[in-house]
Amino acid sequence: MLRELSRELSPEMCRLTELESSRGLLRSDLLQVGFLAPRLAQARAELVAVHIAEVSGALSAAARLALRGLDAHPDELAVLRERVDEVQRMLALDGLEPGAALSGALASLAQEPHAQWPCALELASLSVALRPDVHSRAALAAVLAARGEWRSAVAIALAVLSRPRSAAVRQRWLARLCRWLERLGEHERVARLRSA
Amino acid sequence: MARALLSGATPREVLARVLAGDPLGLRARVAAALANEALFLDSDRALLRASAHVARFAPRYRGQPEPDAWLTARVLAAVRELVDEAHEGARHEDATPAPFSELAVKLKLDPVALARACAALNACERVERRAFLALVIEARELDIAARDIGSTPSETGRAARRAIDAALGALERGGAA
Repeated sequence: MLRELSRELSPEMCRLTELESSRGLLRSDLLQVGFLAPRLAQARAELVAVHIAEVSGALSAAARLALRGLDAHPDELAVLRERVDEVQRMLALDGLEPGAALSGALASLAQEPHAQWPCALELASLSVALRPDVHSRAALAAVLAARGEWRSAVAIALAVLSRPRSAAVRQRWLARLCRWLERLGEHERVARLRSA
Repeated sequence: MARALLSGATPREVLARVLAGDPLGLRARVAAALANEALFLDSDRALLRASAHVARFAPRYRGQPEPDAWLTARVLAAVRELVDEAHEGARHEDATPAPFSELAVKLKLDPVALARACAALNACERVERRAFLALVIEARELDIAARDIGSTPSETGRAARRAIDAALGALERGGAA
């Protein structure tokens, strides 16, 4: 009966019931079913967020390696490939299918030589699009700065600093901002920031 | 028992296992982490994210470090992730989490403002958050709070003041916080 009810509730619940059943843990408490169904759905949304954070982190790391070009050490490339491979396997295990751009980038990182990876800007942009946090923004800003796109890098730093940040993060980004503003010749602004 | 729960399954399956009856004691671990770090987060959401973290990284777990240490590390990683996300969302008025809405109604505060103030508090140093929690939220005596924090009463008072200023600053900056 519980099995029938759970089929009516949702495919998610059905899957949970099958899982529990296989381990001899099937409960006949309908209240438990009613409690777990929405909660499991919420938890799965959190699991997707964790998957996304992992993919984004791998892409940021790849962008930084791509930026270094031939200077990237083979050991670092191997670690990155292992990381991307693990990310892909976990997504597949959970039945999550990345879009074409993302899956293409991940496949390239895992299988192709370093020189044939997507460019650093593309990798960093994908990372920020997936999860805009200080780490992905730092990678994107570093890529932009390396391309001499100081204004774009400054815009990212200002966006980061416009939100609440720990003192350590704030200090790190202020230093970056000052460096990039110096490149733009905005020495007075830098002096004001440093004295504030 | 922990290793059996974590092994031989997909992240989704592990998630279902760790949610049903909380066999790994994640609720207590999350409560301890939030109290120890004096973070102002929705504890239920933190529990779900911690469960998700445990599930996502379970296939990678090979028994080292010991389950207890591994689970604590996963909980802390989940909490840090949520703090980061709250910081990113602190400017978006439509991103106010439901618990803030409910709590804000009870406190007769604007939910967006409350969420913003919490994000600002979570960006403070740990000693500042602990002082704020002890003196403002728990209304403990200064000497006792300072002793528990391992600081002097005057420094504890100053630390709480900095946290209050951060929260008020976030409120005053409004949409630009």
